[in-house]
Amino acid sequence: MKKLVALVLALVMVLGLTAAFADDYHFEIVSKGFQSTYWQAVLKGATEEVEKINAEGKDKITMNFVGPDSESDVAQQVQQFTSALNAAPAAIGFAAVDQNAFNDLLKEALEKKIPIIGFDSGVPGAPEGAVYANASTNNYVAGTVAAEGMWEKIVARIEAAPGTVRIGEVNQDATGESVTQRGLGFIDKIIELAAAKGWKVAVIGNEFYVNGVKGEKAAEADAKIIIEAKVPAQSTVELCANEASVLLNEDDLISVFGSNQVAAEGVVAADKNLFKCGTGDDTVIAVGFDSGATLKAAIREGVMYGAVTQSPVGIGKVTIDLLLASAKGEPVADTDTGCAFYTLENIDTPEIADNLYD
Amino acid sequence: MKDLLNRFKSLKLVRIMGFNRVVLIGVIIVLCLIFQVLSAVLNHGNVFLTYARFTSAMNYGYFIGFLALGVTFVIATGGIDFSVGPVMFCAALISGYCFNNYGFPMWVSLIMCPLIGMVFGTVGGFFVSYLHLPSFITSLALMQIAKGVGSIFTKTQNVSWPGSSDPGGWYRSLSNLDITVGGQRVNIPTGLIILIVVAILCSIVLNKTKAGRYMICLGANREAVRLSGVDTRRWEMLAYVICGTLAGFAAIFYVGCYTTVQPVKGDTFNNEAIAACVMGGTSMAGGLASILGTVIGSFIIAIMQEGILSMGFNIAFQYSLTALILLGAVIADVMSRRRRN
Amino acid sequence: MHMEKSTDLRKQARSAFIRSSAFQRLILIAVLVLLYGFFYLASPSFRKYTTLVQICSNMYYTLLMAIGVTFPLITGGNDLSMGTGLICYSLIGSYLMRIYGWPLWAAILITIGMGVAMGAVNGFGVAKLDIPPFIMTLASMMFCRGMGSILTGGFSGTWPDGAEPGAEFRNVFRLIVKTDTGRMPVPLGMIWMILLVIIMSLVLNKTRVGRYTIAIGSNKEALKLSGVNVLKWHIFAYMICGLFTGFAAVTYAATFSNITPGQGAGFELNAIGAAIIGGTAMTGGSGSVFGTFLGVLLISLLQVGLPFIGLNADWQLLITGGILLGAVTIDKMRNGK
Repeated sequence: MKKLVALVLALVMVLGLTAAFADDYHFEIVSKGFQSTYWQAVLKGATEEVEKINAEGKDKITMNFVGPDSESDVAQQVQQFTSALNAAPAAIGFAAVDQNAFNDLLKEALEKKIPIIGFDSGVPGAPEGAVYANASTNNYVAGTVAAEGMWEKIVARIEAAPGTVRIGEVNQDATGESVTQRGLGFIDKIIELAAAKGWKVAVIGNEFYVNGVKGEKAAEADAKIIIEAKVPAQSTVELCANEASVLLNEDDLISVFGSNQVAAEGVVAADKNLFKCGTGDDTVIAVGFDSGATLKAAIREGVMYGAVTQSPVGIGKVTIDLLLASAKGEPVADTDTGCAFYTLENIDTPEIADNLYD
Repeated sequence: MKDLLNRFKSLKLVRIMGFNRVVLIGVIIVLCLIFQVLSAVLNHGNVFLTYARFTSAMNYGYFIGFLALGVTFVIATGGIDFSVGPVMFCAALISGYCFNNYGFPMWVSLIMCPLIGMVFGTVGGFFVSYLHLPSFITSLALMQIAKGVGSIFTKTQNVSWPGSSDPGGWYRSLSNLDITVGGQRVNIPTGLIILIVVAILCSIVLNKTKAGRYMICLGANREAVRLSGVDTRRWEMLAYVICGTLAGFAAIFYVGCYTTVQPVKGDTFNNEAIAACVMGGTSMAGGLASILGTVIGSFIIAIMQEGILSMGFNIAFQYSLTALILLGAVIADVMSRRRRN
Repeated sequence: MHMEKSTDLRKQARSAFIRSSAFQRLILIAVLVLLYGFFYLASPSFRKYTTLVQICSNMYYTLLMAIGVTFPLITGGNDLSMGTGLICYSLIGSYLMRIYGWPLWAAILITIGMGVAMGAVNGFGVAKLDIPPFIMTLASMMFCRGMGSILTGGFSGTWPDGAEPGAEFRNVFRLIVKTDTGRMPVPLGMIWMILLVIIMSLVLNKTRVGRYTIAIGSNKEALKLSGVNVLKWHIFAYMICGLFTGFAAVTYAATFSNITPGQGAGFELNAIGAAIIGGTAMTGGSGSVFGTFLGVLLISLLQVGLPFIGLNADWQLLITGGILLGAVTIDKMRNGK
């Protein structure tokens, strides 16, 4: 027994010495998990950047990239973040699944002077100074980009329509920052574009989205456009598909927006039975978000009109750069990694294709 | 070898705690050593055996511990309860929603949690003991109902309890108390103290009171108890009421560590609570229950989780490893019972 | 006296019928018709043909699991590992195709094979090692939950979709027929399902496998004494369940393409609940594949129909829970057991 303890202690001492000698930067990155292939692309971007920097020889980086089973597993992510803190890394990259559960831990990181770099949706509401910088998409803007892309296609139809038209929106949840910002951004932009044409817009459906809209809402009876926002009980593709089915079954629906990959895949799955979506004038114009094999196939087949892509590989790369800079004590600033609307026309162009993934 | 084993078994400490429990403690020690070595080797010199990791592991262990304690009562009567996780979440959702949106004071919300759990426990217990429905189905149905009620009440929104610096945030000190000692922040695991106190209470109820003894008898030999003419229905129902109340109580410790609860979630905690309970020696066939074993089982699950994270492994290893330990514990239990017979 | 006797007999026959499970299935059919009628009246969009197709495609994988679990349930056990199991097997199947380049048919075979293997493991633990079925399948459920994620490094996997080679396997379930007014989906899968229900019903009631399964559930000792190798047939019941879990895995992949690790816990509860609503007793000894089919139909109808009347899935959980309780209570009251 004593020999075993001695062996263990010796091992730990030796490893401790090793750590002291290497010019290692160890980063802990806590993401939102790998539920959608989007995150695999972020991981790819981060891994490639780490390899590139290590190959240059000046700094040596190691990273531990983890995430919970799904974006709703708050407890798991709290445990993972605590573990990341306890590993005493040079810096932590973090994309919080929930804005409220991490305040104490972030304060602890601040006290321990461990830099935190937010990425993807970052860490909104973090205590002052805890998060040094963010590498993320501006999700509200991304929602407006989706609205603008869709508007081009549908504005003529709305003009020609005799009665009211309906635009659907499927949001995976009413709680995550990315999805809610995109959902609200989309609705606000539609209201703005409609107002320029003198049309009134009513917003119905899930309470959170109805109440969160900043634009001016009209009553259903007066409106030319009705926007219906739906949120399933659980953020799975099957349940999103059920909500999308209800929208697709409504006869006055002219377009639908799925505000993230899961919701967009739900729309595609629902349409497999209903055949409502397409790119023609008598079909429902579907707009999605991110990419992935299902959505790319849907766009190529003409089922989905277009989607908004973020730059997940870019997010991974920029996160590593920011982590290294903050670990060295250099100043860091927020970086908007951008988003773009793509359709069948530009899906193969290099700027778009680099950001798409399976 | 057999001699050594018998001599070990006859030690007073082992006889008091039970051979199984001592083996489990041995398992904990071995796991800790493995994690310590592997963390250092596989994860860049990470040190596992630190106080910070202990408190972090305990955070996971508190609510699982309370859930498992509750389930122990039900399993002792020969039943099963699959609803504890979602009931815990339902309690946390409703109480938290009332605090956030209706301005209930924090102490009211805290009391609501075990009360809501008690309601579910009472309903379940009524169906099982008075209407004689199978406990498996009843708890499955209750689980769906708890998920539905919680989600409908909060309109499918998450509920975030206040943070430690927000008004009402004092509830967090029930799980973890942060005090400053000489400039350093020290974390006192108050949840652990409460868990031990409640465990002692549970042990007294289960082993020393009439109610507890009837519960265990029900599990061991239901027919005999029925034939003896005793009205066992209220004791059986009491087991479910206790289980539900403890599940609601667990909610306080869940939100104390994790702040946010989501609707329609919580099933995975069922499995871990039941696993903790059975690992500890409580027999699924009923009639044999060990509170101490349940507590140790909860610790194993909590430490396992932390260890896996500390080694830098995929968190999914936790499930597979827990499954293997669970199987090992049950097989050992079955083998030893066979030998005794 | 002659008259009294015949009235007595008729009364006896009537009460026997009411107690029989055939009556329970009749009630279930009535509930289904009423519920469908309710949705039909309440929501115009519900009335379309495509909604029927949706109800069908929503239920395939649950139905397969439910048919499978009917067998362990009849022996007095159950199988909690189906949900996480199906995700695990289909995840590994997709991994084999994507990373190792295996052809589709090989991946399908492996997926189903893993299901059978896990069923054998479950059966062995329950029948030979005397581990209570809850615990055995709880352990395999947790094991599968971890395994799928570990083997793929936490990544999700995709089965062929859209225009990719191999995607034709999806047509087994849903054929697109071109008509004059456009495309019409034919729920081909439903035909396979009904065939399966008929086949498994015959297996349960007419073959040795089925009769031994029922016997294990109702009177294991008597069966053992009659010299039958109970161990073999008991394990076999679980292997049947594993086989159907494998089928369900392929079906799930055909419907949803993208498989996420860590999901699946809870799928089996719908399946088990459906079997019980359909009349399979928890205590074992009796069951009906047709009843299971009706139970799954009910759950699928609820899942698809409720959003049409503005109630989303959390109401569906509440209502399903209530129906489950109600069904078991009625069953209890009928049998007075």
